Amino acid sequence: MSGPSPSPARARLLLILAVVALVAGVAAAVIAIELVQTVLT
Amino acid sequence: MSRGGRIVAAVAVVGAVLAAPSAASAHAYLIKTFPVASGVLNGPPSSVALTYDEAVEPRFAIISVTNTAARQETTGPVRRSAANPDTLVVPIRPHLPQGWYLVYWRAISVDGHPVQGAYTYAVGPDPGPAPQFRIPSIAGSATSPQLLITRWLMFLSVMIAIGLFAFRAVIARVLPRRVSGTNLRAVSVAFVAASIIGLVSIPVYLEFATAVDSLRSVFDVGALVPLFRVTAFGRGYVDMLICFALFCVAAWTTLYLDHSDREHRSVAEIIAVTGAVLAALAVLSIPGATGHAGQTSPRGLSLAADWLHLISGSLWLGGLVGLLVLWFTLPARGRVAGLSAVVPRFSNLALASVIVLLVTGVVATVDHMPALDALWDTSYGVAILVKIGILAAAVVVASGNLLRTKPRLIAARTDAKLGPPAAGLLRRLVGTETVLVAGAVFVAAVLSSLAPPPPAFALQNSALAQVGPGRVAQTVKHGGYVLQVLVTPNKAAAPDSFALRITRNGLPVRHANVTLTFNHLQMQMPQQEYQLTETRPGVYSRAAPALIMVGKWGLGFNITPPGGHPFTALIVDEAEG
Repeated sequence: MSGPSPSPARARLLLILAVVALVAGVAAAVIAIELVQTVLT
Repeated sequence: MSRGGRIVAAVAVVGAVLAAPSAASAHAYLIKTFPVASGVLNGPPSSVALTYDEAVEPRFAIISVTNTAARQETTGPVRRSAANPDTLVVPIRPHLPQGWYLVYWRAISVDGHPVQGAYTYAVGPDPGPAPQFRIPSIAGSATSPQLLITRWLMFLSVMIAIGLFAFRAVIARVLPRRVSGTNLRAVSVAFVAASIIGLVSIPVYLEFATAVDSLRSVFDVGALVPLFRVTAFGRGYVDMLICFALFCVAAWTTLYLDHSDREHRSVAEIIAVTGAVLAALAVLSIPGATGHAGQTSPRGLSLAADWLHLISGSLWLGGLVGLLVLWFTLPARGRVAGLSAVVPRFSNLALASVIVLLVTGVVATVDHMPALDALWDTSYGVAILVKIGILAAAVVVASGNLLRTKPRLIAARTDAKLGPPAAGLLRRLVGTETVLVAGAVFVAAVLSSLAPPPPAFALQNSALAQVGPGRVAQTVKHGGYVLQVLVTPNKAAAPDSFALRITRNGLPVRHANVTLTFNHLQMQMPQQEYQLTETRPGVYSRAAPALIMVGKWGLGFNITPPGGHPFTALIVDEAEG
């Protein structure tokens, strides 16, 4: 990996943002799976 | 296999699969009525009750009961039966006089499409001959221009946003590293713009769709918003809005975290992009679950095909838009180098997307078409053919990019003078391809607004003859029997007379048991069945107000000859108004 490494505080912030994105994705997936499951059953 | 060979093979697969028979089912079915269709009651009923195969929403349903003078006889709103949630009940004026009445109904299926039908009943004991009814004017279409345009804009913006995200985050990510002085800001801005339009267009479409379904003004927002989650269709699109908003959160975060100047992604970037991909996949699964795919057997296959169809379509369309954005925003000195870095990567993805799009499109077509001739005999089938035609044109243009532009741009890495003409050709071809694919999305919006042909449509293929409009005198042969069918005057909503003359070896076949069933081939209606009586030797007839709507009817003569095997002779009859 090239480029300067972020400071620990910024790295933590970036990780928190990434987790927020992941939680958003998982939440969307759960909503969609529930809907599809309703249709299939 | 060469590219040409692959295309030929794909066309062969399309033909072979289309030729295969299939079963289709969708939309709410009327399975029971009170009063029964064409029945004569001894006294006036206090209400009309319609039972469907699913719980349809009474707030979106219309049941009209009119007399021969087209006077409305209902006295209150449609409500759900306390005894059976699948039954809708409407009160009617007490002490209706003797005579014939027309019940005309419209309901919204779980997939959001209106279904409608009609039947007649009589209040006796002496209602007189069945008259001709005027069909009340009730909006039954889900394809108003405003609704179509909002649906199109919704699909277009959501598909472009997701495709642009994939283009920005995966395909074009190499650009700043490979071509100095370039960046992906313009693609990111285009993605954010498309996603904002998507966030606005989903609720706007839902508003328009709810207004059409509930027969309210689109400006009656206060009344419409509470109805958003009343139907499965509305709930589905609210879920889609939530999922798309979550996708925007994940995708915007991903782009914020992305360092495209680094070859490898950081852990945070990988986590974020995983979330965005999950959300995008979730968004694209919802239109199928709330539309035809979710109502068509086998549902698992239909949903998977629809999902893959939307994913591949989004990658293709979004990528094309991304290429155009790059073309117009890259600095002139870096344009050819930039395009030669991105176009070959996109071409591989586009080829895979087109193949998946074709295969899943064929699967969906086979799923929805009860018979091959429904493709050209129904508006749903014609829309599919138009979509196939537009996509075929887009594939031809795409092959120009694949076979001409891509090799020239690659060659331009070593021979600079090849670059500018190749970039010019790319712009023209990608522009045309984008317009064509956007057109195909519009036809898809039309397609998903139309009701697929009812399963009864498949009856046409087993018909011994197609007759009408106008008076019918048709002779057909079946298993050694000669059958002469007479229908007079063969008009919808009129007291038609039906007769069947059966002979074998020139002699009338007497004492047979003959019943006649009626199925409307273009509209879902309960099947009607009448017993025919032998009025002359070998002639079985009956007067019945069975052709209650114009259109094509499947007339099934179920014949049991004395001492012979029972058989059915099916005639497709077109009745005029």
